[in-house]
Amino acid sequence: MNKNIVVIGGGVAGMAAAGKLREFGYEVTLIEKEKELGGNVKNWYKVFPDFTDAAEIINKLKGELKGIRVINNATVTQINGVAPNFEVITSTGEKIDAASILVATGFKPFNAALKEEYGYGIYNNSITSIELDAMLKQHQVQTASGKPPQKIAMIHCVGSRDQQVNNNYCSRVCCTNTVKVAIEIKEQIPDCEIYCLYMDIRVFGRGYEELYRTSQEKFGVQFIRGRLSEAGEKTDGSLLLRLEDTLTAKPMRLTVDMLVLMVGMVGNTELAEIADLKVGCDRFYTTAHEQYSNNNSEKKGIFLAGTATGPKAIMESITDGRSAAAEIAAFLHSFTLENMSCDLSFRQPFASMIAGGNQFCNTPPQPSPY
Amino acid sequence: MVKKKCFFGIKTDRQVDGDKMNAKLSQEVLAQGGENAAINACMQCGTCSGGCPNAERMDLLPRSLVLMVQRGEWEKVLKSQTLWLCSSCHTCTSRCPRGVRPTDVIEAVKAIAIREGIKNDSVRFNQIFVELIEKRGILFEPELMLKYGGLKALVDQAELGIKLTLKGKLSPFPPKVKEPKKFSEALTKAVKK
Amino acid sequence: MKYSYYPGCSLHSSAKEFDISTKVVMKELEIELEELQDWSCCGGSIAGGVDHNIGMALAARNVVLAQNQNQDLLAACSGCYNKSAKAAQALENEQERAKITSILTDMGMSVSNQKIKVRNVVDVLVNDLDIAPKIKKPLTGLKVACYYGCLLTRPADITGWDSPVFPMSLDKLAQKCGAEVVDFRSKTKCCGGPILVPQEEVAFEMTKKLLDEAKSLGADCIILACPLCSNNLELRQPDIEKKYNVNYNLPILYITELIGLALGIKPRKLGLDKHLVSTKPVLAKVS
Repeated sequence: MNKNIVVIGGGVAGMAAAGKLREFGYEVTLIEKEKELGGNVKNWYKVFPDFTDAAEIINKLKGELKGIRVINNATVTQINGVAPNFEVITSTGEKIDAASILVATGFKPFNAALKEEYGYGIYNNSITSIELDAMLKQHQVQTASGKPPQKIAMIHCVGSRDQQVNNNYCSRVCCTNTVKVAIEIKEQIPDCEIYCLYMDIRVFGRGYEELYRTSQEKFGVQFIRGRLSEAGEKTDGSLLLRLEDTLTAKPMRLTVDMLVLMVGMVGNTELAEIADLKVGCDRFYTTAHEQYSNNNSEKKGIFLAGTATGPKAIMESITDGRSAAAEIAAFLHSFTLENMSCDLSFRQPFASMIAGGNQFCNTPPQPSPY
Repeated sequence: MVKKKCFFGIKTDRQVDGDKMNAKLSQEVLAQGGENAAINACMQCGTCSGGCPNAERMDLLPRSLVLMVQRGEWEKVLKSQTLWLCSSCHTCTSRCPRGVRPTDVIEAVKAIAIREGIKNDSVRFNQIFVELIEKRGILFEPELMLKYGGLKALVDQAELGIKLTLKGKLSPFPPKVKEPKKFSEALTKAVKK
Repeated sequence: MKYSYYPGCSLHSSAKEFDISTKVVMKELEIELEELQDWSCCGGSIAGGVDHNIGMALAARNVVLAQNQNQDLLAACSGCYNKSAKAAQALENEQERAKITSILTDMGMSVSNQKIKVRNVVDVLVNDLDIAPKIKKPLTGLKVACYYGCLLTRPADITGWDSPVFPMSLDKLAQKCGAEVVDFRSKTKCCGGPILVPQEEVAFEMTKKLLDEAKSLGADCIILACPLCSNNLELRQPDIEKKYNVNYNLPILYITELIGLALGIKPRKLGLDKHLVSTKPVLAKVS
């Protein structure tokens, strides 16, 4: 059997999976559409909850890629065949044989301009969390006029939990990210006042709640419960925010020098047709089962990892990539068994997880091709 | 809060002017009450208000009081009846999931309110109470009742007073510490600081 | 064991029977009490709300006196105990300690580093001693409602020896005395003590709820350890009866009086005759 595995997407999930598969002894080809590995994370500064440098994470995962063939600046244009004999054709015209395929194509940041009332792309001082992160990395948080801001409002749930932009889901990481960048701003500009405008605070992971508390207790970050309704620009470039302060049940007006939109994640489903993958109503890939088969697609031999299947934190994406590696290893192991038969009872959990029943046994026993 | 009318006749206290938010009051509370009066960690969950035995009588629930302190709403906080309805039962303090101590916060706010000239029966009572302790070091209740309620209180409480005297519980001689002068001077000096 | 005993203002006036019974019972249980020399008022729940530093200095003064005598401080009154324990904790905090020291130095006192514990009589009775073998006259047939109020067990980071929600110390002591303990749900609900004078109506309402529950449970008396609670529950009981047109006639006893009775000490020696709500019905039940 061809022992090559194609991993599509060189973000943290794809890299983590590729590294682990290599460790298991498989040949791995990693296809990345950009010229550098690292996906979204490579652009970031520090990550929550422990302020690890994003570059450190990328370097660590890159270090595990020894012996792996990485194809940069390439996308997948066609997938032929069935497991374990796929043929993957890239935009560079290359044909790669694959026993299995892992789709780890990540997410796209929500386009903040779609929330017109927040004035992104119209008001100079309405920026996204991604732009703020870049400013923090340069230690140059400043308004459009080049001054350090004295008052910043951070808007939670931009592009998340919002039917108006067709995203009903929670992006999960923005709350903790807000708390993290708020602390970073306070460290770089101590006298800057920060107001976080939230609906709920969803800081669920280990160390996240503690980070939230620290931002309040040690850094005096203020939290105002209310969703921004609209921002207006004043002549001096500052922004007038209108919202309800739901804790006092009164309308509130608040002027800030800078508005930071904490943009959520949007599914990247570029491969839906090419890999014949199903997409959920949230526009992330559907997995074989939400509970116990989160790395399997409904298509035999094609696996999923990372934010391709829904918003995840970095640590979760890495774990998910490695979990996918284990699933792939187990899947390929089944083909190496001497007498491939219907008796897969020892792997019942895997067999039964496939939606629509046991797909191995739907067809009569086939002689082993190996 | 002054009820100014703005252009369209909407009273200003019907909306929150976010631009007036500032940390001065919470800093003042911290200076008065020490670390135990720190409120930054509050996450507005309302556990304090939920357990408060007098919440239904308060104009500002303990949770809101903390929020108003955080935002620097001096007038709302200092004029609130909540300060004087708190019976220091520590239910809130023993339940706060973030370690905030509303009892200590309210205590500090009361002291600030008194300093800022807030006047009511509770303030008067508390001030007389402390004055009398400063005087002799030990409380002499008949004197407290006389000073607070005047002769009327003495008459109203006469029956209770007589009963207590008959039971040997009321001495006509006020007790005091050994050196009341020194005791008193040290405390007076501390307030003036 | 020898303690610096801190009676506080109330135990020398309206709560005299608490003072008397504490001394008698502790003597019987071979605990030596030496009254804290030159003690002063702890400031109660009020002084700190006029000025934090005054409140802290008042409470800390007694702790420092006990430190200088190198003896653990034992308070009977819940309020005095709570404020003293809080002051002892404040003395461990650098900032607070500096402020307190400056005031106490002006009073001519020296603040040492001597470590002492601040204890409450109930804590000692239930956790250090075993009164069971000394019970001579079990109070069989007496139904009591044990009321803890606020300051005996709250906040737990200052007190810590019993639950701030469902404490059992008084219940256990009463049971050891042979009394039947009713399931008093309001045992830690506030009586409104500190706001009694300026907010009489509110405090009366709070106290009424307690009397109502104890009465409905068929308790013969309420057992407590706080003179301020007793002030509301006993001294003002006639006023509440009058205001709400009810009739309680419910004796209010300090825990030390109850234990004293079970130890076989004569009621008069415990100060049971000093109550304004007659304790005769209780005595009739246990004799």
